[in-house]
Amino acid sequence: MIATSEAVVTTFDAALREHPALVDAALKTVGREPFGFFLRVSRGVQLERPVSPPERPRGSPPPAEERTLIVAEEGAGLQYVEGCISSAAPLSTATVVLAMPGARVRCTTLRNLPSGAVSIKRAVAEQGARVEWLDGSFGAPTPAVVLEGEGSVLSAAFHGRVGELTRGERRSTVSLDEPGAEALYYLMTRGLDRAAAAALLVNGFFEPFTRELPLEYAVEFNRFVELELKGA
Amino acid sequence: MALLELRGLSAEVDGKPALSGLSLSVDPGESRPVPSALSKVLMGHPSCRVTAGSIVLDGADITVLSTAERARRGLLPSFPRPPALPGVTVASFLRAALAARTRGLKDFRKLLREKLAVLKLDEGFGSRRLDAALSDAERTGFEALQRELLKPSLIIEDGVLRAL
Repeated sequence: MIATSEAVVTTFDAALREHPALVDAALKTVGREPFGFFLRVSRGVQLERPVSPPERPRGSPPPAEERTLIVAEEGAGLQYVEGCISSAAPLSTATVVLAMPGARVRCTTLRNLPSGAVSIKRAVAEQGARVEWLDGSFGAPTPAVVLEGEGSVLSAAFHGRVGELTRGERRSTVSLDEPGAEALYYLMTRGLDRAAAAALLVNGFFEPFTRELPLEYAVEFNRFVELELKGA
Repeated sequence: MALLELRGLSAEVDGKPALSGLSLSVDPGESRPVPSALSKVLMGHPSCRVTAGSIVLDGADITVLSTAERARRGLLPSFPRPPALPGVTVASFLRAALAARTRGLKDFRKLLREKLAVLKLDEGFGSRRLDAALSDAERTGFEALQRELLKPSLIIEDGVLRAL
């Protein structure tokens, strides 16, 4: 557990004991969910490095559910990165962000969703606050991020045989079966076999998303696309 | 030994006869004009079908090999108007092409920097995105860079074969 006067990273139960007023105020705004992970950043504090939830021990199965509440107080700034795509996500996840007036939050979620997964992503940006959410998922179709207030959402999803990129209302798609015959041929004349050529094109398609990710996550995302195409 | 030998090669493009009984041989260092349909046939473009004869490169019959395998064996066709590759950069393109030839590709960045310097190309050229059309100068630079890195033995230009 990291706890300073500036930021609190703890389990929700502990937060409820130690910061009841803060938790109450947050829940009034975002609604009640049984939360598991809690992050609060104090008024005006800018976190320099992205924060992630505590890692599960290697090889341990995912919990049935995962709940996260993030509160950025007035004028605070933080980046939050959750999830991974090399192992299956919990069947039920909820991440709720409350950005108080003037706060800046950038949230990155990467999930490998089992079929039937329920994944709630909600953000409330109060006056003058802004929430950016990068949402990447493999597997089951992913429900959208619900954002109230100022901000932006960029989603990359990969399910069935189709990749999708959504920015605001605009959605573009790529079919993995035929990412572009002429482009595939061009790459194959450079020695790439079909799967490698398709992976380069699909990763290129997702590049507007991956270039926003921290490098290690971008590498993981690209590698996962390659694996998915090899399995085809 | 000839670098490339065509032995009585007949082929169709889009179901129509395009080559009929073409025989020729090209030695290293030689350039030779050829029918323009030959470029696609040599690379095994999906629209082409060889109906008779064979293509022999360095003594090996490559008539039925995949396009990628022909490329890895030394063929490099040039594209006057290459298709756009959104999100792909000069560097990621070249890295993938080299990775297809070399196991455990190391120090790609360093190699690329060296080749850019040799060709007097801008250091930032590796980050050039291939989603918009390249200028003529950029395209020439990109092709020269591909030749430096991929080391082809036979370049196929529109209507000309150049054996290196």
